[in-house]
Amino acid sequence: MTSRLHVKDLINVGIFAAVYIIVMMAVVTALGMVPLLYAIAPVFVALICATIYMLFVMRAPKTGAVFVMSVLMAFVFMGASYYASIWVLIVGVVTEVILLNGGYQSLKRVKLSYLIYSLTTVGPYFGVVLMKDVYFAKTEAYYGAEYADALARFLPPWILLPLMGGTIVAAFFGALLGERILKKHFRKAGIV
Amino acid sequence: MIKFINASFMYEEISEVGEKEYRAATGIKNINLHIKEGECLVLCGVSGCGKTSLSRMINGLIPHFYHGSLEGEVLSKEVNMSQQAIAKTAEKVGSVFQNPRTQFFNVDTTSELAFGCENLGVAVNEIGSRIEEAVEKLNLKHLMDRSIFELSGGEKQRIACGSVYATHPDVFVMDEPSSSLDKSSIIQLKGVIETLKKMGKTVIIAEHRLHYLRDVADRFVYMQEGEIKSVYDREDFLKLSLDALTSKGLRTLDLNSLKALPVIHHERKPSICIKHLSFSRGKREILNIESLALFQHEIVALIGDNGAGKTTLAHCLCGLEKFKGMIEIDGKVQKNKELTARSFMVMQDVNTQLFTESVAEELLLNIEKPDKEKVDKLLKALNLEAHRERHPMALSGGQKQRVAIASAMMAGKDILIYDEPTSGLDWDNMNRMSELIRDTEKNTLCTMIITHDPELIFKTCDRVIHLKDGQVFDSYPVDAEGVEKIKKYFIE
Amino acid sequence: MENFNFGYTNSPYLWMDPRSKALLFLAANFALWGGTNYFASNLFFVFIVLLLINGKQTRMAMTAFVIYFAFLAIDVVLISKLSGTVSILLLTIFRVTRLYMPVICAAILLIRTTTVSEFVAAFKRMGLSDKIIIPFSVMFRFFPTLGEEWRNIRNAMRFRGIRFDWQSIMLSPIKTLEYVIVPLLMSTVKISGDLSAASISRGLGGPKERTCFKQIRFGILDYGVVILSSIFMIFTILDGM
Repeated sequence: MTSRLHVKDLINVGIFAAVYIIVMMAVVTALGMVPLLYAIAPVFVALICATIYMLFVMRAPKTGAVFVMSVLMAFVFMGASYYASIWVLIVGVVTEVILLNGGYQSLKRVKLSYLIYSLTTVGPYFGVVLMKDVYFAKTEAYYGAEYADALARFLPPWILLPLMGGTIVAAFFGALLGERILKKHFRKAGIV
Repeated sequence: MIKFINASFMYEEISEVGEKEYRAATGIKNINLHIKEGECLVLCGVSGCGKTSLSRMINGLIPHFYHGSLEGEVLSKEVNMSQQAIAKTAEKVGSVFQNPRTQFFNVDTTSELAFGCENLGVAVNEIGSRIEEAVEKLNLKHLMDRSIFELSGGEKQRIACGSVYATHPDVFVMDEPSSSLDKSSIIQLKGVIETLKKMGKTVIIAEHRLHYLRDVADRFVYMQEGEIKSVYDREDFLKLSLDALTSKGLRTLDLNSLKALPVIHHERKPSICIKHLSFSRGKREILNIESLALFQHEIVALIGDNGAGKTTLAHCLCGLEKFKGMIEIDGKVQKNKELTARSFMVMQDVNTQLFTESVAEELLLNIEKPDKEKVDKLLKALNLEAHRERHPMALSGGQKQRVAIASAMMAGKDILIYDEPTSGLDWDNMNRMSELIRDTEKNTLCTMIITHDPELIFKTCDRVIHLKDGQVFDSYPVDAEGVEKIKKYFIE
Repeated sequence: MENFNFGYTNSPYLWMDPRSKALLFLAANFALWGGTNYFASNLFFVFIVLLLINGKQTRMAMTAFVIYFAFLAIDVVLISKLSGTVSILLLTIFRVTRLYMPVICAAILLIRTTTVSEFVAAFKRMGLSDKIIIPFSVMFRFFPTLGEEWRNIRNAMRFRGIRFDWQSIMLSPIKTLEYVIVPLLMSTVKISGDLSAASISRGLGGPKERTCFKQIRFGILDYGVVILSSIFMIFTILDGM
């Protein structure tokens, strides 16, 4: 077995990226019915997508697989804003670093890497908050300070921190659940 | 052209504890075979006899994709295939697979035709002329620039052949290419094989259905338990009687020779009545049935061309579609939810129908009063006892199908619908499936089989319902007259 | 799932290169930054809407057009009359939605009116590696298949009496998740194996440089788009300073 990405791995990347993205979108759409839940969608996505991520990494255990998947997600996230895309790429690189040197073979490291990778879904929120700063700093002059204040209260930048913290916690439980499902089903069926 | 010299192969498998192991039961052994240039060779035998593995050794998937232990040699024009990179083999050997749904890489037909050539680095102008040639030779003009997802199974297989054809291989390897095709698609496939043969290509087909190959094949290789048992020339093979074929576990060579079992005359008591049933998707009406009755303990075959509304009718019966009209069981109008609770549909692809981590668990899923004795009885009846604690997804396709059927029996379903249960099965397994359907029929109200398999109908069914353009075109018992009608439908 | 039925056929009035659509998308993002010059960004938005109509996304174009100008009108009329936090927040929603319209429209133009093979050809031209291009094609190819698998799973769940609704998600979330994700991933693994075998046996991953049958070339419209997008971007930067 070589360590370079081969056709089989690349096809796994494409297919699992499709599953990951569709499940993610399904969760976000379902939560969209309740505004408050919608705001913390990454937490739920982190919990639910853990199994998909872990199975993916175990089926395509080659350096670069996760990064290529984040490139595909970055493409899809372009619809939200390009901040989101850049964020996803950065997360992809950091995840690869965690998985470097045998991380793909160790379940522990795979679980650890998911704590970081789950942050991809925070990307679009990153966009919204940053965008607000860039754009509305300029508009303050036009619409007055009262307006800018109201906005600052509406979406303070620090809101990202608890969101990311919550996502990581959810990813931790998601990874535990994922491990259980992998052992109960996929190991037993001879798939991983 | 291609020579097998004492070739043997065992698949590497991952055990339940995650370790690699080799299983002697899977794979092939002691193969000696010489395939001549320009011949059409059919590999036949029961499921698991090794015919698919043999075909994988020709296109290089063994040992380059399916890993394991390989002994002996496979030579193609004196080149050892196991040592040649698979991309190199792809220039000479083209492959067509069983499932048209999972073998496409692209989403539109033109890209798919170009795909093989692109991989081999053929120049762009050259690809253009090769596609034109493939379109002309295989008659694909009306399929160009279409989305793959709107093609029928037969059209997909033709595109698959065309895509392979464009790479100009000398050898075509087909692994059960007809297994998910209906009768008109099989005729299309046969036409393609004839064309390839006329051009002097070597064609190797691993297949269960043999009747469509009787006129094109030059030799038949019969395999059993991983070994070649005998090799027949066409004339000798065609002389084999139906009994000789069935004793080898093979399907018929001649649909005309089939005979039906005597019809069992049930009490003609209608139990399910369909009245004024219609269903439309968008503006298109897919189903329109004035009235249709299904009798108690009857096994009905549902036949008809692609798009005739067979699956839609089945979905309506199971309450999965919001239809207009009504369905009554024993005189009572059923709501959709009630229909779903009383029915079960055994899909062709069972992978999405199993949910739990062991066969026994699968049977007990959502059963309110678990009856251990009933589980034992069912597992025994369906020959699943040995697999009781295994994960359903670790079983073979046929075993998975039986687990799904067992789960329906366990839940005491009244309406049982099978979707193409035997299209990829050899005679032995088809026979077993037929017996199983007949046995389980006693426990249900009504059984319906959507099928393109006349052998299964003759062995199993009491009545045929023939759909055409969403309407009941004909409905008749499988008696002497019915047999002629069925043959007429499937042979022409 | 219907949202993912794009990228398979494409028949615009005037063909557009995916690369110029990408540039247009970038320029639309600039509009978010600059955005204080009403006239320029409105004009640019109308330009994008016209391109959408060219790509036969007429309904989407019309909806976007109406929303954009209705919200603009609300903004202009009400801005001087309102005060207080609540109304300002309300106004913000109108404004942010409007400002996002060009970006959304450009994204739709890029994704909905470009076939997968056009994307691949463009990527190839831009020198992207096969390690990106192959997974990209597979992902798009798999979206509709995933829809089919999901329908099969839902049907099977109904037969087996496995519930999948808000109630079951609230009462037994883990069990529900398991019933959904296990069959979904099982069939994913199966399809992935089949597709890999089929692709490899057809020479994918060979040592030779892959060629690309689909050729893309800049047309008249593309030059127009590149020029207008560039002018708009330069204008926004200058305006910002």
